[in-house]
Amino acid sequence: MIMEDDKLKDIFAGYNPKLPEGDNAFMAQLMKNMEQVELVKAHSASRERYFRRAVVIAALTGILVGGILALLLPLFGSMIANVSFELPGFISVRTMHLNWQLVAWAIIAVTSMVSALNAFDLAMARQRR
Amino acid sequence: MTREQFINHVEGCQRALRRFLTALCCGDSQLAEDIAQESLIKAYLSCEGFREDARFTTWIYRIAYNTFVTHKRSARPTEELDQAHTAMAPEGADSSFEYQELHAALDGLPPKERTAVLLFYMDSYSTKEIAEITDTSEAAVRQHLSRGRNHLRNILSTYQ
Repeated sequence: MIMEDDKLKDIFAGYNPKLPEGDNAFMAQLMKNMEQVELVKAHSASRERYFRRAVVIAALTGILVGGILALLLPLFGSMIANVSFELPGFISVRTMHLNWQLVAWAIIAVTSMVSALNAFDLAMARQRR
Repeated sequence: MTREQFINHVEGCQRALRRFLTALCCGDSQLAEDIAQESLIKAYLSCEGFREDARFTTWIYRIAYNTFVTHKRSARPTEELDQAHTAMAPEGADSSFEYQELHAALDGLPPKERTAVLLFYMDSYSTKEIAEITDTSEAAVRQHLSRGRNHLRNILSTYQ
């Protein structure tokens, strides 16, 4: 077994195949590949920064728009309360008032969301330039 | 690990790595070079997670072995023809004929036995290190080594 081991070791010790490229060419190719990897990593990192910035701007815009509209809600309420409709007898004014509040909150939510999305798109577009 | 440290480490072990991969690919030196480049790029991408107390060459060989296995799994049906073409190419002719019997003998071994034999006899890795590289147990490595040695001996003896 020891003799076989030595024989195998000798076989592989003398194993020196001709490689397609010299050491310098191989390392040059490797460094070129590494530089391309660095470029891709830098590009990904900057895309991630743009994305984070755009999300923050979108969130702030949504909160701001939603907050302003929420503060103006009592004003809308009083404007709506002064509007009169001829409604069928079985619907009371009170019911209409509550439904209008729901509708108003829904409009605030949708407006905030749309503002946030638009702000996100604008922020991403500006950063790409 | 910094970029410079990585390059210094690679400069020290790239030749042995390419030699190992050429034998592992049974003489297909072009495939071996491709696997070597791919492995080193994968290593570079994950070098930040490399523990400084670990052995760099063991880590690189592990990545290279896994890359080889992945290549084998997705090998094209024309791979044998490509290997023949590579062997017949003028620049590959000398090398191929010189180690033709050895490459043919290695080709007769299953990949795990071939890997164990090469790492043990060519690169002088211990069974523990081979187990780490191939992600198996030491007992499995000893078994692969024993079978691989017998296999190789039988194949080489038919050429004599």
